Amino acid sequence: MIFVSVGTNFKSFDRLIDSVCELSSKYSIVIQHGNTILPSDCRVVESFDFSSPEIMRKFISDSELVIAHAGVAIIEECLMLNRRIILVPRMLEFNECVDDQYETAIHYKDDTMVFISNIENLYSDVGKILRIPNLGNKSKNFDTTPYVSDLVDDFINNNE
Amino acid sequence: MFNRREFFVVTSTGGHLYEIERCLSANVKRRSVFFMPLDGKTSLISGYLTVKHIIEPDTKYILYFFLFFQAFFWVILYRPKIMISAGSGVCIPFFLLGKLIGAKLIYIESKSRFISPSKTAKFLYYFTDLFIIQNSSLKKFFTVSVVGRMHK
Repeated sequence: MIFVSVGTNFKSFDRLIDSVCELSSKYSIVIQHGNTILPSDCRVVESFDFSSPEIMRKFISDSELVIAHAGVAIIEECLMLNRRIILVPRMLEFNECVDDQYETAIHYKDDTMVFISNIENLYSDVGKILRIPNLGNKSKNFDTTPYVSDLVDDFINNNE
Repeated sequence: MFNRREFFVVTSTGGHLYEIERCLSANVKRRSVFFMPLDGKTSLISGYLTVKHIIEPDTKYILYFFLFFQAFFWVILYRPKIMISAGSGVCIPFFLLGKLIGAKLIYIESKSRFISPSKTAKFLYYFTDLFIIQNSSLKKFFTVSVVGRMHK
């Protein structure tokens, strides 16, 4: 199963949804379409607009590949759950966002679990990526930086 | 006159919500009033003292005017000691009013920011007491900031 997510942005992301609908004739697809209207001829297995983080996590976990906008939440979940993700950044020039997502996508580009796709090549990219054997947990995004929660707790303790 | 609530957590939905959920300990959550835009689509916010819904202004500046009055009501009612946010702009009225009543302000810049800071961060940097970034590449913009990372 391929899980597709466009996030909670109030702007629509028609480019991705249209491309994914093309994929739906060949692959089994579950889609979280957010504020984008799903075309009536789109033959996905399941679709919903928004959901809780827990349900999103379950779909990511059950999928063999995730296709998503370049949102930090979905990328981090995929890295945590060891799922390959194809990023299609929302672009300002297409009025798909307030802040261009290309910057986020580029940051993650070196991670072995992350792929950035040009929307025109999405169909062929999906086929290629699914043929890659399971990569294992090779995410490079591990570091020794302190946790934000610890920083916040320390600050609060020092100010009480 | 009113019960003072210790902490305010103010955040937008989507990635901001995801980040704040992973940036706060259970202890902070259970002492916090949680403010998020009313969209009814992302539910199951748990562990907080209480959850309140506010206006999501997005890029409609007129809505900030109404949000300011909402923030004024809650800030006067609860007089929080500490305010925490991971963006977006919904936190600005809360932070400005919080500063006026002497609350300590904690801002967490989004992890999606690597090259350039968000407008909200650039504005609130001068008001916050603890400014946390998640990518050290932003140090050049926020010299008095601390680099931290989210819990998995």
